[in-house]
Amino acid sequence: MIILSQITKWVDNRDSKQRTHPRDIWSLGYRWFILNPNRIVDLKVRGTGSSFKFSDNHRDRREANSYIESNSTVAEIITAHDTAYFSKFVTLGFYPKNNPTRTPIDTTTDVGDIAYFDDYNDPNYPECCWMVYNSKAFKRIEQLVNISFLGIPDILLTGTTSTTSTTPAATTEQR
Amino acid sequence: MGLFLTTITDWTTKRQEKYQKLLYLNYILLNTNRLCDIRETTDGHTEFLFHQAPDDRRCSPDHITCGTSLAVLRGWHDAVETSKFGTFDIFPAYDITATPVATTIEWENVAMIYQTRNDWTNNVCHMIYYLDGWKRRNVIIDENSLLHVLAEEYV
Repeated sequence: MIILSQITKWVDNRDSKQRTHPRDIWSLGYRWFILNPNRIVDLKVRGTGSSFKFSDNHRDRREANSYIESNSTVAEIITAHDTAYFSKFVTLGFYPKNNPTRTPIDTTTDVGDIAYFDDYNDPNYPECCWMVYNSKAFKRIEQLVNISFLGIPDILLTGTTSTTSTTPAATTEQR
Repeated sequence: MGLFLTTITDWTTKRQEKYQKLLYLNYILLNTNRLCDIRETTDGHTEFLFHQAPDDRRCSPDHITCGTSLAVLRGWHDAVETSKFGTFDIFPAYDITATPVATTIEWENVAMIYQTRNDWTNNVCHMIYYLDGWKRRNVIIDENSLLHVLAEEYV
């Protein structure tokens, strides 16, 4: 199962060197991400949280791992990884060409292929978030999907978004 | 996660092998762990990208439209095999007159199993499997039907 986590530092070799945007770090000290624990290696205790390496594309040996520092504890990450998904497939609405004004197309993906979710920063589209997933080893894809960031854990755990999320209110302030 | 029996409506691939033309009665076993970007078609069937070699970044996926609904696909993907391994009697050197060798392979390494008309006559099947990310193998196995393979995986 994925884990909703406060990320305080994310160092990667890709073009996006500011996944934890300075504005988030300055105002909150972290940014919320939903990570798939199946990409985590070298998980260690760091202060009251943890640090680990994270693979965006775990099937491609050419890609170096990111280094992440998180406020989630090692135990929380282990528990999340041991929690079963509702199904190994998840169906989400994909916006064509990542355009939130277009009609989303329901598309089913293997949850193991999902790397992480990131919030969509435009407050005019609260029902959108970014999903980064892999088309197996062939390609890494950043896809805008038709679901709120806070609805992701519910749909993966229960198959619906009907339950209320318990995410701290700070997330809303951040967005 | 494992194999599911389906019929093929359309199969677009960059590979030389055009499997759709080979299939006897259009039936094939595909592995759900190779599927990506699954979408329902208007007639209730599904289309998806099929990665024959999911661990090889050089291999682009095929586009397949098949006669199985999304709900059924989900059921197959969530199904649990009786064992992670399956044992297949593989004919050495593609020779069906030779004595088959019992070979144990992880189900997740099997990409597809199908029968041509000749296979059906000879009571054998073709199987494509991978040595993880390293190598693709195309073999003939001593199985008289696709349903029998399915039964071995789940029953």
